[in-house]
Amino acid sequence: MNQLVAPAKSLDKSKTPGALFSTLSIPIAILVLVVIGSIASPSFLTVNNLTNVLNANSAVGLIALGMTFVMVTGGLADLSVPANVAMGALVTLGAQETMGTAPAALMGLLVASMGGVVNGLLIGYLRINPIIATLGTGSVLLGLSQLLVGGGIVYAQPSALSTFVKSSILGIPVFIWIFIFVALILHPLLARTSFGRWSLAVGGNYQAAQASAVPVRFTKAAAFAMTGFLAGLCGVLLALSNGQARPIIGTGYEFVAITAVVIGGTSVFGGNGSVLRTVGGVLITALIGNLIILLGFPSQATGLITGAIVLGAVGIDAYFRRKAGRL
Amino acid sequence: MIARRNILVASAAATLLFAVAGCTAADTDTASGDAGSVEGKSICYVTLANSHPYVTPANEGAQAAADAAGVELTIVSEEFSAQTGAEQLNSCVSRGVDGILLWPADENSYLPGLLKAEQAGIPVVAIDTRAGDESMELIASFAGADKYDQGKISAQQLDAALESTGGIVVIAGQAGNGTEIARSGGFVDELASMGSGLEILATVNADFDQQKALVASRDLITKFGDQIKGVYAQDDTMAKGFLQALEESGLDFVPVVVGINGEAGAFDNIREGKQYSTILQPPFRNGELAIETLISVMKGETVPEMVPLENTIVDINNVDDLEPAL
Repeated sequence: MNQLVAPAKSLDKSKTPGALFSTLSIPIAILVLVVIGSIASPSFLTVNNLTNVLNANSAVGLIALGMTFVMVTGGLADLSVPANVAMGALVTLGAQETMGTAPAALMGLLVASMGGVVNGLLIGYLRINPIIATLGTGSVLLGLSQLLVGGGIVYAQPSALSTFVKSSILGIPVFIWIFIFVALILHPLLARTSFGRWSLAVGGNYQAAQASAVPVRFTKAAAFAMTGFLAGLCGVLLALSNGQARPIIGTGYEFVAITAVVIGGTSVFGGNGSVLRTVGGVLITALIGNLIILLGFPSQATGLITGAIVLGAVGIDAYFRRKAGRL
Repeated sequence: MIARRNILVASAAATLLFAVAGCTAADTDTASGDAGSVEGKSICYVTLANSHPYVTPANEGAQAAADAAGVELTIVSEEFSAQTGAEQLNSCVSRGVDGILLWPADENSYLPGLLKAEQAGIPVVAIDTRAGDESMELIASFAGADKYDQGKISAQQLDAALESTGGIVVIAGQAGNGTEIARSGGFVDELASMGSGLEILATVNADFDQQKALVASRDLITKFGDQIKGVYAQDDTMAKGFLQALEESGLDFVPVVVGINGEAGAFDNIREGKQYSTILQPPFRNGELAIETLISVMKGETVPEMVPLENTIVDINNVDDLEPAL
């Protein structure tokens, strides 16, 4: 019964229907969508289109990777994401002229990370409800960003860095490389390190983790700091590639990220989840968006379909947990 | 427990508000002062936001027009919340100002306040956005761009440039948003009434967001390729997203792209021949126009139900003579 220390592992290795479901559902879902796509549209299985699918959610996908840690540690969700995306983007473009592009981008990252650290302190150390805390910091930061730019559009200067961000390496856009790179760091961080085990333990059973000398406060705070940093990175990348930014740039990104994490099968109740599965969730949401346009469905259908899948995924998760007596 | 206490506090606040409103409603004669001069009169302006690409310059325009007329202008911001705005409207009425400029954030939330303003004899003018029909009956005039007309103009632009033939895609704003409804409606209606031969291949909602427009446009280009002869983007930001996707695709065709709003980025793209046209809807002028309209009402002059902000088409011929709106 080492469930308290590593609940996810014990659940994964057991042959419960829930575990089987969460291991196989992602690859099956992706396969089904790919089959539908290749039958329905001749242009689906082209290199160009598949690159577009990978690229579609690569920026917001970065946030989903961070949000995985937030959910795993039982931190529910980070609603300050749009503000940190805006901060990353606006600070980068605002400071570009005086500081140069690269230092300005670092500054954008730093400011967004600080937003994440504040979230971490409020939630991890002061134990404020994450929804309330991030709603608050989000409003403050978004207000601040609006004050900074007076509500207008900030335009970028042409720069080598933005040309690089828009370019491709070996035929694959830089956005996708960055997403893969971050996922390759974060997946083993959650699956193989002590920090990963702490995260699962904190989300699985906070009191038990605390009793087992897990640094519970730090672990929870770190998840939010990481998400702030990644939201900032998303903002910096979007600002550089789009060549302009306004305070509304990250609107709705918190929901896209939450959707990808939940579709990936990470539990909203904490204690269970994987970065790799979130990558699967990001892919599935991108495939759905792509197919809706290729099949000519009205684009409002995107919300309908992804929303239904999220509710289904959460419902099934809750069902199996109740059956296993863990809820 | 907490919920019940909140209701108590709220109803206490509401009672107080009504009491105050009742007191000032008594001295209505201050509102209907002598016609002719408005100097020294006061206007309360419930604006949508303090900081927004369109609203901020509109607020500055309102201030400038008020200063020019020697009117005292108080600006309060509802920050996109109709509830906040409705309370602010109430307190403007209570303060017994001489005129109210209102930026409606939704259709019906302002009705109670508008009724009180009417009882108190305070004229109200709406800026930029219309309120619901019932509300508009209590509003003397509306000063703003005719967004339906912007849709019509876009249809005319595309139809003329493409000689009424070929496939087009529509990149629309947020589904159900007032601006989106007007800009879509005007566009579709005008195509129909012109008997245009343009064929709408697809309509996608990209929420007035460049990144969303970029992602959707990549898929549209994958699906339709050079069948896309024209693009109607409901704002310039989304037009930019489409142009980005086109550039990425490396495909060698140049569709006619029309946008709306008159953003600086669109001006650049028009100069470079990437974008065909945009529609300039100058926010500063919108603010001025609204205050001027309200002052006319306060003077007792008759004003039309709608005072339209002129929609200026910007294309390669006049792009260097005009200033971008944003």
